[in-house]
Amino acid sequence: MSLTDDLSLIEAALDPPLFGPDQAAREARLFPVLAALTRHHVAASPEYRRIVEAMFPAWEEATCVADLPFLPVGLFKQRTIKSIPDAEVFKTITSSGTTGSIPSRVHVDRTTANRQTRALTSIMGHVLGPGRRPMLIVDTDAILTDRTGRTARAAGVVGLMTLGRKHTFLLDESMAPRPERLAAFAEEHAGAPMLIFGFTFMVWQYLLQPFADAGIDLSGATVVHSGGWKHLEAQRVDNEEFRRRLADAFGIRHVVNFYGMAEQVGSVFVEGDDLRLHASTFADVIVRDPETWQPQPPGRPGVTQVLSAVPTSYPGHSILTEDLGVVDTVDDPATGLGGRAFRVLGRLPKSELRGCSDTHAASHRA
Amino acid sequence: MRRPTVPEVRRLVPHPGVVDAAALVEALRDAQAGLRPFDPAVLACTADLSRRLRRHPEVRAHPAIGALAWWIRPAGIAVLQRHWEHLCDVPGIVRVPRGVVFHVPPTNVDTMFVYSWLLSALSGNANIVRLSGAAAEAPGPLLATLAETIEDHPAVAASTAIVTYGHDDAVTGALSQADVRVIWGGDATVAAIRSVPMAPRATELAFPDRFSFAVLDAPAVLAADDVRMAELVAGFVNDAYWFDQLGCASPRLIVWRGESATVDAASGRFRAVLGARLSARDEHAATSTVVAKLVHAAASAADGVVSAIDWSDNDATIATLTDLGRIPRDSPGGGLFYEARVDALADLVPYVRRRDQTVTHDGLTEEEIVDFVRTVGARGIDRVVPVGQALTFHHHWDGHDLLQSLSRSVQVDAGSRAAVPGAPEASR
Repeated sequence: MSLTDDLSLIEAALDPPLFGPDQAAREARLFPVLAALTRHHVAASPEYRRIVEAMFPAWEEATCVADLPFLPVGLFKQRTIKSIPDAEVFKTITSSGTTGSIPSRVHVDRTTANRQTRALTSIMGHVLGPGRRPMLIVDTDAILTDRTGRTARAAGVVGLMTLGRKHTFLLDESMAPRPERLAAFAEEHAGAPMLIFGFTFMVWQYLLQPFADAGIDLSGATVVHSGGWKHLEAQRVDNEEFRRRLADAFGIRHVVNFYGMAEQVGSVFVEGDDLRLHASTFADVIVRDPETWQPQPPGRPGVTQVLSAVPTSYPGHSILTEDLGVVDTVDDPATGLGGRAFRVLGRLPKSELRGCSDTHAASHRA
Repeated sequence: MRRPTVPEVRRLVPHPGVVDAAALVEALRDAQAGLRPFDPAVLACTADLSRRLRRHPEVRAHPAIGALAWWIRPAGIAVLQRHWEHLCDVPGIVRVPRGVVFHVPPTNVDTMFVYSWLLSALSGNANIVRLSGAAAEAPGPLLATLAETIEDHPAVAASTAIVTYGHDDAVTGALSQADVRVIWGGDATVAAIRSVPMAPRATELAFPDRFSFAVLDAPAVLAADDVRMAELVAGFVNDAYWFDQLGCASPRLIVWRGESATVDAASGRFRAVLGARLSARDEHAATSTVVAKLVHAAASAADGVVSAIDWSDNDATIATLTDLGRIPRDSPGGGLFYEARVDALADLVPYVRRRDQTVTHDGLTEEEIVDFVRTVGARGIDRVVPVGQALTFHHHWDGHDLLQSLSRSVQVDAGSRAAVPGAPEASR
């Protein structure tokens, strides 16, 4: 396949339909795109080429998505791996990470930035329908001016903001909720479609906790949230409990979780009515057996690999995450979405490996 | 005026409780006055500890503790005592203890604190051993058995304090009024503790991060019969996996000596036997460790120093190193091996660094080893031992003779006509 063919394949990859085709049709469409992206990055990034040659020497014989190379996500914390010259770097996205850990860094050019926006807008358009709704953001607008770098959290907020209008930020700079803002937002848009966005634990902590008994009507709202359940596990809040509390407190019936990461901005997996996550047709998920690294059959948990046709400026099209996941169904007719439906089961448990000899640092953290 | 708070530590052994750190050093100094090198009280305690550990039903599950128990058995201590007598056999010199020794042992090798303590106690010193909170809480038979044994030997109990405290420079400072400070740990630990001043006349032994590798003679490995091969691989597994490959002496690089085709064949045979041995073990690498190893190997590939990564076995990830000048010396542990080839041992010499500690070898002659070590000289390497002996403690460690470093040489000269003290007949 020529490089020109590859480029037109990659360019057309984000075209509709986004959902609907079955897994076989999705794979038939996605495999050539991801193979083209692999060739593109092998040609453009010496670092990527060397990794692929070392880890996947036979990759060119791949006949399915599962046989294509992937990068472990932690690599983006250790090395700069990009397929564009420095001059074309439009922005660098860093993962927020946990305090003290090294953040991931991916380098984005204008093309990839546009593709990220287009991907996110079309997936969320599918969830929210046409038109831009009044939007409540469960966060502070301070993150927009944060000069410490474009974190994934800020990137998420900025990305989602394009889907709404009349943006109201619920929190002040010190992360304190502003009740008057919430009341005004609810009153102004009462009964109308609204959009509420926030990271899952922030929606819990700053919207549900303080205002559950405030008698505020947000029944026209769709809540879009992301970020995982880790912070809420301690409080025994799972997805169903979270949804029930939103319904009880504000009359909210439409709640959509999504799964995405700094290394694949724009390419999000959204929750369907089956409460499972679904790939768009330009993305896919593979759950791998941690013993053999082969794909697991549905129902068997493993390590989640995410694939996406979105990034072209760095080889983030196929990433082995550090999240455990499970594919529950494939082509479940009840959803009408086609493809795999999966859940994220949390982070890989950290092993008890003791850092090299570090008596001091270990006690410091304790 | 507010009185400054007195630095306190939690003493675990003997008599658990909170004690004043400065007073502890002084109390130990008093107790030390009753001890001599290879004091019968310490020898009795050591023999007792060895016996109790070897009889302990749980020790079977902890091979490193079994190795410790064996190392400190009376016959092993007798070897140390002969070495001590040899050190003392210098005309005009009398060897005496240094006094109080403050030990900061590593967290990654959980038996090390006993070796550190014991060599110092045998040298006649009183000892403070600082365990991390995690080490103090860690389950297992070692600390409990040690505590019981020490408490049954009053002279040892009086001159020993095993303590724990968090990161607290005031406490470290108080305990650093000891006569010797022994730091085992990462470079960051050594730097952090070194920033705390010691008593003016105190000395320090520091054992920071090290890197270790194996040198295997490919023809020898190919020629080994199956029994010999199984022993070699079993020894290698002990070296690498007892402490999750995080022991300083655990090999992280395998250097093959031989022609390319021979090495390929030897490496293939070694990997096959290693894989079988590892799959038979009860413990396997956690998935997060496997992923961390992949990240490390892939980052090395990105750097252009690795041409192939064999990740077919989660327990042993093997990356083919193409540039001995850029050995990735940091490591996530858990069974990640870089592999390289040389035609001759001499080819390795330019790439040795001061950080390199233990060479575990198979198929090298003593003459080759001595020649190699002399050629390497000041570049690095503190030990060359057979495969399987990487973690076997020795009273020479990291280039120090520990019995010598933990004692003091007193020069004595009675004048030309007097007998020379310190000579064997005078010490009787």
